[in-house]
Amino acid sequence: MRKEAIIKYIGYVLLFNALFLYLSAFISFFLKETSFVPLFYSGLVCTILGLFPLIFTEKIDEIRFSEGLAISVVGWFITCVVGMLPYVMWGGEFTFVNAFFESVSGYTTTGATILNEIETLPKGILFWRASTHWIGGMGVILFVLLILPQARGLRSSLYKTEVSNLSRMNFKTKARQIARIIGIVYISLTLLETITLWQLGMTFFDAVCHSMSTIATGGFSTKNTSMAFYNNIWMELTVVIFMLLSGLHFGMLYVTIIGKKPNLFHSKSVRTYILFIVIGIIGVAFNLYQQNLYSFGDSLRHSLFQVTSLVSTTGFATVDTTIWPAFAVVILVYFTFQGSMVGSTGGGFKFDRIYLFFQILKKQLRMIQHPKGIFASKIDDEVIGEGIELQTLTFLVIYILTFFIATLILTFMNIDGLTAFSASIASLANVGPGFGDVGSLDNYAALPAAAKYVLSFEMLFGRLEIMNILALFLFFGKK
Amino acid sequence: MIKKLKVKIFSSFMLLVFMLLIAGLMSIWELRNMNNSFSDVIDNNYQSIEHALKVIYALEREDSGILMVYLGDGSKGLSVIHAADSTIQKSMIEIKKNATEKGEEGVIKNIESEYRTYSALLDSAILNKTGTNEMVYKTLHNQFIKTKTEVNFLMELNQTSMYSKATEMHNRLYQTMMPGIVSIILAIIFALLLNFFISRYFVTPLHKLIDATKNYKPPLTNLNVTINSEDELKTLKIEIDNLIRRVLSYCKSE
Repeated sequence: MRKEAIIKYIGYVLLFNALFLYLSAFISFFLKETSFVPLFYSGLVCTILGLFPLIFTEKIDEIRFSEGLAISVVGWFITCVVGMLPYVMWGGEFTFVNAFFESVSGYTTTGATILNEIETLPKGILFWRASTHWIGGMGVILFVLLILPQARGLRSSLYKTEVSNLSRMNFKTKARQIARIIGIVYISLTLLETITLWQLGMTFFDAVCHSMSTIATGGFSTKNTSMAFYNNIWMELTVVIFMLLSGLHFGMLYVTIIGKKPNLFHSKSVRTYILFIVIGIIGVAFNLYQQNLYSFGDSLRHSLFQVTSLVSTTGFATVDTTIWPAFAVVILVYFTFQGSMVGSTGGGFKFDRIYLFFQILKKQLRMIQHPKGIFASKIDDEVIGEGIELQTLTFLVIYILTFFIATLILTFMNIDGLTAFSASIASLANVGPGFGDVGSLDNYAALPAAAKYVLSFEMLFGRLEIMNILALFLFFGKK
Repeated sequence: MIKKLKVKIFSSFMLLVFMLLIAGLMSIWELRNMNNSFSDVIDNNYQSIEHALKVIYALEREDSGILMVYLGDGSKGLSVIHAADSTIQKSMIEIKKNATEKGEEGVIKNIESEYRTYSALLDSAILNKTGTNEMVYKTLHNQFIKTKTEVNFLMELNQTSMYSKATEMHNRLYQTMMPGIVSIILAIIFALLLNFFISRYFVTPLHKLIDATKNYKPPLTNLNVTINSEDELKTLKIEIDNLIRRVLSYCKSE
């Protein structure tokens, strides 16, 4: 593994982050806010650390897979560390651990916050919070691939570490075009949502921040009470539509928009995904109405928003879901675990994997019936190789194991069962809000510092889909 | 790509110097802002509070003066009232000068208006000594309380602002310190990175050249070593190869 190659490309990642830090600093400077110096200086730190390796390193044409893996994993970690600099330097509620938690939560698009008073933050810091979502949503490495004028081999190996095997299957184009497709869809959706929210009465600044947060399926809001602050059904519907779109496979979304086939409407897995969501919404709405919590209309409205928010792993809130009945809570916990589709900006275990899991189950049952038969599991008429099947099953086991261990550690810190359980799954699935003390309108401020570190690493594990981190350890171990 | 060793080393140090320079400038910027906040507190808020206290004290003196007039000590009472009025007029000029807070000018106008009414009532009470106690204690005293309340409000306004500025200064102090702390950490990272790059791009190729030179055996026409960089080390390797070839050809000709 060539350390200089890893350092060089992490440098590019830092330079990309610096762009957004300068933009946030510009907002602060323009509004004469106290956050100008922390933002500008953090931008400078990123620029200098990013430029420094370029002085020494020579041109690198080919990146090995292990190096790509290291760039991806270490790049994410370093990005999170430099992302906390403006928070730490600004102060306020941002202690060291809080700043790290907020930064990791931002980049991994979790959207869990430690802030009690969001509305008192300077606009520059609020924009930086939204930016971390937006950068992390697409994947900081993919962003770098978009702007790097480098060789094809390099793009390909970096891309392999950032996008899962299952996700790559759905893209019908070459690796070098995928970053461009994702970029186009990502930027277009953000612009479209910003304009819509702005037209519906949100301030331009809030519309930009909420759009960046929605498309990245993050969940950071500029308001203490998230989307509940606006209490506007049209804004909620807009956010719901964009949350749903952001939870779909971007490659398929692109193909659908340009009018080619097979697109979203031909995909059986997408239809099943939508069907699951509709059943979830109806189930929760019926339960809320039955328990006399809201009128029928309000039950449907809140159910629609909360289910979509959790299934897309965004985490925006319109109501306090901690007071909801157990049936509704269990459905929401399921969607938190399931998450969105592969190839989207969302997190969670991913619906395609659950879909594939049932395909494997079906295949196994048929093999029991016909031991000599040859069967294959399929997603949208595409045969899934045994390698991907094995990866999916392994991922399921590791995912549950990680969640279980993290919950266990949290309960050891005297955190109650429901809070520990929901905080753990909400962090691993990059959703944000959980239940108990970390409900949809609460925050993570009251948790002990050690718990915040555990959850931060869980968020990173969830974002990097665990396997990448384990594989990197394997490479280091081999050395 | 930089091809000269000297430029590489110079550029890396310049980056470090630039970063420290900016950290210094940022701290100066924050200190300057802090200084402005200090000036705000001292020049505006503290002065306003000080003069508001003087106005309250003078108002109370005027209230005592009218009582003296009513108790028969007219000349002493009048002199106390005139002295207090003069203090109030002077203090009001200072208060107006230091009016920087939002809504402060409105409060000052209210004070002036209430004080004008109070002065008029005071003059009429002095001229008409036969006025009843009821007039003094009800109308005049009520107006005295109203004027004093407005001055107290001005004082509270400045005290609140002083508190918020003190909090801001506390935050600024933290923010002034942070670029320094971050620079120290960054300088350590920088040193480690520089050490890595110097070792990787300067020391390792030199060792390779030394080992290759030690292990060189004729009749090879070049050193058995690969230098990947495009800087002087590569030139050195090429020149050593040229030297070997020249020496070999010299030996052959001899």
